[in-house]
Formats: sequence, C-alpha cells, structure tokens
Amino acid sequence: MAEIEVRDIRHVYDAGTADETVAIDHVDLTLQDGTANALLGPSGCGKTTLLQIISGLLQPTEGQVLIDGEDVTEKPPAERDIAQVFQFPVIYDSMDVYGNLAFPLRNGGTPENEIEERVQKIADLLELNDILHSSPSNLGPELNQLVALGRGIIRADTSAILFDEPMTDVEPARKLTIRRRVKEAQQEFEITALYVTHDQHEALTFAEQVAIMRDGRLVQYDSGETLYENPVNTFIGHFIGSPGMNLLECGVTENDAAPHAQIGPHTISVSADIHDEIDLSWTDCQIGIRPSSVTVQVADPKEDTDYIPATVDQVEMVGGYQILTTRLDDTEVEVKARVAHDFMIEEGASIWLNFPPDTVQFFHEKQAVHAQ
Amino acid sequence: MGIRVENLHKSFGTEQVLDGITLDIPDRSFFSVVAPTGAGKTTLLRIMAGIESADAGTVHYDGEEMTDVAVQDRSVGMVYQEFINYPSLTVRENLASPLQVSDENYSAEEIERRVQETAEMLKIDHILNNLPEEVSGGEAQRTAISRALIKEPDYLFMDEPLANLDYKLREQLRSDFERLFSEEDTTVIYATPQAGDALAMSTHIGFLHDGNIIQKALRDEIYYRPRYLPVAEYLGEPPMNIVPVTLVQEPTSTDRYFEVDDDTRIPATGFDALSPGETYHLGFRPQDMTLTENGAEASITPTLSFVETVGSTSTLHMDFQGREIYALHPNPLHLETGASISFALDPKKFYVYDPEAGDLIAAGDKIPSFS
Repeated sequence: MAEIEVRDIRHVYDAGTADETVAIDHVDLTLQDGTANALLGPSGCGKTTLLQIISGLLQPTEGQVLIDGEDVTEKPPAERDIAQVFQFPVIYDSMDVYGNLAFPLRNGGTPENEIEERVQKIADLLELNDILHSSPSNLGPELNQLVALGRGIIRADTSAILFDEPMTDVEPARKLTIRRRVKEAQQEFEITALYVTHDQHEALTFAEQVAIMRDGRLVQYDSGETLYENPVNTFIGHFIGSPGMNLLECGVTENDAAPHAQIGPHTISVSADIHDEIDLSWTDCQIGIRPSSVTVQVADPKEDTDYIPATVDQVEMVGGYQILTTRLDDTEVEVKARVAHDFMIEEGASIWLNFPPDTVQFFHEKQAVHAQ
Repeated sequence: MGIRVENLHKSFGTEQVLDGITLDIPDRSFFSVVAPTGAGKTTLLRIMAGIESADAGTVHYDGEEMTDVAVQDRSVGMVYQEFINYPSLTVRENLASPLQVSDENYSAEEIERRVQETAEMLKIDHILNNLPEEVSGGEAQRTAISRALIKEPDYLFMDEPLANLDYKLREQLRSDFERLFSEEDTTVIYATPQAGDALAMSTHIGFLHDGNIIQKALRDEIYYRPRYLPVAEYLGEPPMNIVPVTLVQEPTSTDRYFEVDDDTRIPATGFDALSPGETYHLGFRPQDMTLTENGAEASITPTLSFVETVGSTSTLHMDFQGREIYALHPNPLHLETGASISFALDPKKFYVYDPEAGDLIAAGDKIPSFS
C-alpha cells in the first residue's frame, strides 16, 4: 500500500479550440497510506477526470502524480499497481469466480498454493465462499462487483484501489450490505482507497476523509464530521447533509452589545465565539443551521422570545425521520427542521422554532466566519 | 378521475408477472407502486397507461373502460428513467412538440403561453434556448417531465424518473414533486424500488409482491401499519427489525415476555390477546431503539458489526442471534466494532406478525392507528 499525492494538477480538454474546458483547476491532494478517501461532487465537477489522472488513463495538462513520493505522471496505468473498480463490473465470463480472483496472481506467476491461500482470504472477507465455482454470468451485478473488488485487491503489492461510482448497478435494497463488505475489505487490508461518487451517503459512510470538488476545484478535504459541522462555505453547507443546511439571508443588527442575525422581524443569536469577528457594516450575510439542530415546539412558548413562530408547509419522510419545511411568520424564509418519524403534525400547522446559538454558523459573502 | 384496474393478469412466457391485480388509484393522488427491481412495476404501469396489453383484466379511467383504448387516445403523460428528449430541438421546441403534433390545433400564442408556464413551474425557463446536450442531467429530466406535463394530462405515469440523477438533484426534485403535484389536478402514478422516494413524495403507496398489490394505503398508514412482513421489511430506511420470538408467561406472575432464547426476554406488556407458548415475529423500527447504559434495563444486547455516520445520524449495523438488525441514532456515535450494545425497547412501539401467514396481528399502543 502507498501514499498517493496529486500536486498542482490542471487539466484542460480540447485545449486551444473553441470547446476548451478547464476540467481540473490546480488541485493538490494527498491520500495518506492505508486510508479510505472519497471524492465527492456534482456531475461535471471534475472528479472522474481526477480519478483517471491518478490511475494513469489520462495525462494531466500540468502537475504531477506521486506514489510514495515517486513521480509516476509519465507512467502507464499498468506500472502504477493501482486497482480499479468501475461503474459496471468488469468480469471474465469465461472463468468462474475463483478463476477471476486468481487471474492477476496467475498472470504474475504466483505458485498455485499461495494463490489458493490468498483467494480463500479474499473469499472469506467478501463472503464469496458459496459462489467460488459459479460462473459470473449467473450472479447478479452486486456479486460481480464484489468479485471485481476482490480481484483488484488480491495482489499484495497493489498500491491503491480506485472506485468509480461502484454502486450504480446495485439494487437499492442490497446497497447496505455491499457498502459494508467494501468498507470491511478496505479496513482489513488497510488499502489506500479513493471512492468517486456524487452520493454523499456513500462517500461519508465509506471514507475517513472526503474531498469535495466543484467546477474543477477542490473546495474542502476533511472528515465527514468536520464537513458537516464546519463547512468552509455555503456550498458545502448545502451539499453535505440530506437535506442540506438551512442557509438564510440575514442582516446584522446589534442587540445587548452583541451582533445578531436579523431576518425580517426576527432576531437570532449567534455563538458568542464569533461575536468579535462579525462586522456590523456587513451585507451579503447568511446564517446556516442544520435541520437536525432546529428545535421544534408545538405549544406557544408565550414569553420565551428565543422561539420564532412559523407555519408548516410540507411534511416529508426522509431517511427515517420527518423533515418539516416551514416558513417563518411575516417572511418568505423557509426553514427545514428534522423531527422524529412518529411526530404527528399536519401541513398548515403553526409551530415555534429555536436555533440554539452554538449550532448556528455565520457566513459572510458565502464564506464561513470562524472564531480566531 | 381515479384509475381502477380489475383482475389484471400478465405473463411473459412461463413467468407470471401480474397475478390478478385489482386496485383503485384515487383521483389526484400521488400513488407510488413500490417493489424491488423485477417485480413487475413497469409492466403494471405500462398496462395502466395503455402501452402494453394485459392477458386478462380491465382498466377504467374515471369510471370509463379504457382497456382497449390506444395510448394516444388517452389523456396520459409518460416519464421514463432515461431522459427522452429530441436532441436536435431546443428545450423550448421539445416542450412545444407534444402540442404541435396534437389534434387540438393549439394556437402559437397558446403554445408559447403553456411552454412558459410549464418551464417556470419546473424551473427550466432559463434554458429554453439550449439544446438538451447543453443542459445538466437534472435539467434534461425536468425537460422530459415538462414535455409529459404540457398537455395537462389527467394521468401522469412516471417510471423511476429520478434513478439516473445526482443525489442532491434527486433530493431537490423529490421535494419539488411533492409540492408541485399537491397543487395540480393530475393523478400521478409513480413506480420506484426506492422506499425513501415513495415515503417522501406519495399520498398513497401500493406494495407489489409476488404479482399482487398486497397492501395499498395512505402513505402514513402503510408506513405505520404495514400489514404484512414483506411491506414492513421494505418500507423503511433502514428497514424494520424482525426477530422470531415465543410468548412466555411466568406461572407465578402476570408478566409476559417475548423470549428470543434462554438469555433474552423482551417485555410483552400490553399484548394480552397473544397466546403463551405461541411463536411470533416481533418487529420494531430502528428509530425506536434507545441506547441504555444500564444493563439491567436492557431489552436486547446485540453485537456491533458496523457503524455508518452521515451528518448527525448514525446507523448501527448489529448482529443479534445471527440476524442483522439496525438501530438509528440521532447523534453521531463513536463505538468499537465488536462491542455489545444495550438497548431498551418500548413494547408500545412493537409490531407482532404471524410467522407463517406474515400478517400483522398486534401492534403497540403508540403505533398510530387509522380507521
């Protein structure tokens, strides 16, 4: 296993023509040896291009790819020892599952007894024992994808494994199980892994560190928890989380000598940690709060001014919880709040919302404002 | 303007796909047909829309028999998983095309008015002059949906229309659909294998299993009261936990338990109608499991095999007596794989199923009921 580094990569398609597109715009990224990483972003953000540059299928316009410090930018894919699992499983139908798993080792002239040992280890890990002598054409796409994974990691000298949207063909009900086996294999073998996807759920469950790309740039590379708790800008705030962070345009007002966010007639406290960083003259400010951090109350809190009255516009069941889309009274501002799956509320109902100050993020010109 | 299908049968070769389906789809509902891939959802949709014919059975729209009426003579729109647009026409021309080829002789002004109105509704008015290849996947799919909607059909059939879209777009469109169709007169029939999509958008859900709709109900009703095990095990993210148990009653007290094995007994308070000595399948939702520090309070103590944390939610994958069960926790959890984790379970949130017939025979007091 190895450390993979991309250094100041830039990639331009159709350079010098009318169709010239900058797909990757000066990206630096280091994947530590043995770690699980994800590359996440919307369609067209450049993530697949970056993956192909790492695997060697594509030569970058500028920049370097290093494996354990060695510059491999000029090397063809075969000399990089990087395994790849594609969107749709690539399997040899002419061999059984055992033959598929053993293939890279047989190619390298490994003795059969060693091959058997290694195949057995992979089969145990990925739970392929029962199908070792089946033909891949009789198995579904899920199992074939596991075979492709097993074949990718069977050689002990594999430096890294890259996944390109590997769940595309997997039946929804089977995804949980497949995700788990992929993750367990990564952990067991401590393989440096990079998992490319547009699906934050897959990225966050697989990876310790997630790199988020947008328009060819790397926006933030952090743990899932940091991405969720401390997004560097409003894009990450919205992109991570399902639904994303509530991002509310606000003014800045002073109240009891402390800056507050002002939304229509409603005044919202922000964490004392960032009071000193906020300038009362700012415009283009937003506050961000996660739907799971919004406190919902159905009874009128009367004198308690920390609660903002709102009306429920929509109730959706999402990911085991209910998401209420509410509108703050006397404004057109929408706020989503998460409540338990058996919280009974009707569309049109009046409720009261509280934004605990420690969970409120403050953004100026879409960039996060942090305590110094 | 609902749809009624009666006794629909359909086989492909020796494989029977639909086995006598009878179903009422209420007027202006957003009705999701949910089932795993390959269960026959698409076939059912195509027969209801008139694209395919059934081997036997009838289809009525608003009380009128439509079984043999060709699809072009019905007021229906179709949206497929693949975005089908004319590549050489702009988005504007794509939207206008169903009106231009229609027998209704729409005036140019009327066409332009409808194109504008529909484009604004689906938020594609900024790309009307682009070609389909110049827009994003989400915009292309919204173009396809707009084309299906522009004739203001009474019935809109959608077959996994979100399957090929980016995660964030899917989330957005799910929310938009729910809102859009709650205001429209259209009856929507929506096929999906994604329980989450159906739960987010639908007014009604029908679950297709072994060629039949085994339960059809309001969204909340089918979620809170899944009448059969296959429905319970499918409609949830993650699915309901199911554990085989035996009801036991101590000879010396009135306390009753669901016994999993000699070491594990779960309180069965409130289930007085069940018979001691009988076996049942006990169901409880992953959201209804409460972590407990105190072993004495514990109802069950499974072994942790895997934790997935996304944002503020942790999903615990656990092994319990050789079965995989799940718990959903509203905060991030950092726990060691292999640890024993104790949960308190609330019998008021239990579901009890018949192990053979698979039907719901009892539910706890806190499970919402529907008359």
